[in-house]
Amino acid sequence: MSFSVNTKNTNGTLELHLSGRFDFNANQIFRKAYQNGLDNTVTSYVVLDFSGVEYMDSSALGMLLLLKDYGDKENKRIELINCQDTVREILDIVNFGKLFTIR
Amino acid sequence: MDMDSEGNEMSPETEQITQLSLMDQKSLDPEVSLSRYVMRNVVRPVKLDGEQLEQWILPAAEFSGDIFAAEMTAGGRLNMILADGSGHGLGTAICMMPITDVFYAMASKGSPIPSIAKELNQKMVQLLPKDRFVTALLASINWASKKVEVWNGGSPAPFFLNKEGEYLKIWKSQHLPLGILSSQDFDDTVESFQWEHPGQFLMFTDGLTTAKNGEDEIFGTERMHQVLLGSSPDERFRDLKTAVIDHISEEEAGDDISLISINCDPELLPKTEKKELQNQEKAYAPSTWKVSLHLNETDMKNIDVLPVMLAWLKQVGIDQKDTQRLFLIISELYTNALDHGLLRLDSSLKSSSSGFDEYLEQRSQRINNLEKGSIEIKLERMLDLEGDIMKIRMEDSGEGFDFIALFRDLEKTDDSDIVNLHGKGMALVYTLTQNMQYFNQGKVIELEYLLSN
Repeated sequence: MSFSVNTKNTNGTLELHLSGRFDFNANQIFRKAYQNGLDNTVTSYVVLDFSGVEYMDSSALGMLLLLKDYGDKENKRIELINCQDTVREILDIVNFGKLFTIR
Repeated sequence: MDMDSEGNEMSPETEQITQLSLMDQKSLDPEVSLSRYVMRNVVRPVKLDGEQLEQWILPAAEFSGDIFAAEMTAGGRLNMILADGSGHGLGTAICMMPITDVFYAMASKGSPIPSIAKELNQKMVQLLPKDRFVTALLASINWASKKVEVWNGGSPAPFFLNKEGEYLKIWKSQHLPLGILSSQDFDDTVESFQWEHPGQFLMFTDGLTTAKNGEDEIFGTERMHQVLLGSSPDERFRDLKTAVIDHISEEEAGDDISLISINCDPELLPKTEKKELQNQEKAYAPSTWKVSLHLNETDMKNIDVLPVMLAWLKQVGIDQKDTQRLFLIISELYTNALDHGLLRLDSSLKSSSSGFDEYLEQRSQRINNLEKGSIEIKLERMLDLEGDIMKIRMEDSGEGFDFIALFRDLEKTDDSDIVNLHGKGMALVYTLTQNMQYFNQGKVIELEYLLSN
């Protein structure tokens, strides 16, 4: 399944619902989604909902690092939620819990 | 070691044929040939006689994004790195090149794993773009002390197996990969394990467990456990390798696969270790010396002891960098012994500029009035398991001091705090040396300096 992002903005929280394969091909879609979201809304809080992501690779981890870098410059808090087991396992091995809140 | 796509060792003949055919395909692309040549030389062969270490690296693309390097220290400790760059192919392989440079430079000198990890991280942060990182395992095996030390940043957990193939220790990833955190935030903590009975240390990259067969099934950790349990120590490495190759069968490996096994049996090492130490003893035999200098109150007033020590170090062929550091260490210890041990000067005077004048004045007054006192300096150059070492001992006839409090300060001081610390000289000495110990109410200090040669 190809990658897509649904953006929702409620009460100062930017929610990005990700679905499909989160890999190198997702790069542009993902970056545009969070840049648009962060540039055009007043928000201090970004939530990435991973419930629709069944697979992620190391370039997806790289994209998360870029998002963090982007968010850090503007003091945004970033949370990753609803990770499936396979995704959670990858995030745990690379200890991304030290960079993001993972729920 | 060269492998064909099935992971079998190539005979010189097949290797030649493969190279020829590669030449055919790639002759139009000199850049690829050049890159191939350089990448082949990035990793040096490990100087071991083969019984202790088995390795298998199967690249997914022409250039592997996995790197394995190992280096034996003079003291018989094996330092290793298994690193996996995000992605594979030439681009990733290039990102990995500086890793081996830094690793070899530090590992051969016997640098501890935390320092190597810290340095590598800094290098990767400096070189790589924000979205790139390197998962890495740094490990050291010390057969003499039966100790394994591991720093795991984002790699699948390596483990220590007993003869039966059961896990005695698993090193789960505790850290973020290299190239993400600033030096300030970087955590260099290692986890160690001491074995009682001989066993095996096994490490691998995630390409091994995620290798897929024709039905899109991954090899997985469960299959790995089964193979390891059903196999004898001698055949374990080969059995696991065969199982993975059978699993991927006709498929191409989707990711680079690396598997390393170290035989942790003290019986096996002494050959290499003894050989190296004997060679060293031969080479350094004329340079294991002891010298001691005893100064009484008259000597202290008349002899400037530091230039004497400096001349001695130069005379016996200590290189310039070590001489500078040793000079710094010895002068700090001597000043402490004289100023505080014998003359009882208060170092807090030195904090202000007016106080510093007063300090110097008191110092010359007290040294002139010193009726009885002695300082003994001993230097000993020796070889032990850690390498070529200068042991330094300084004793004064004063009243001693509260060295427990000093250690408390030193322990909580990191590099950035040195400038703020009162005894900043001692903090520097502490970071430059090892095994620092006080005896006899603080009247005796002993420490070791690792010579770099």
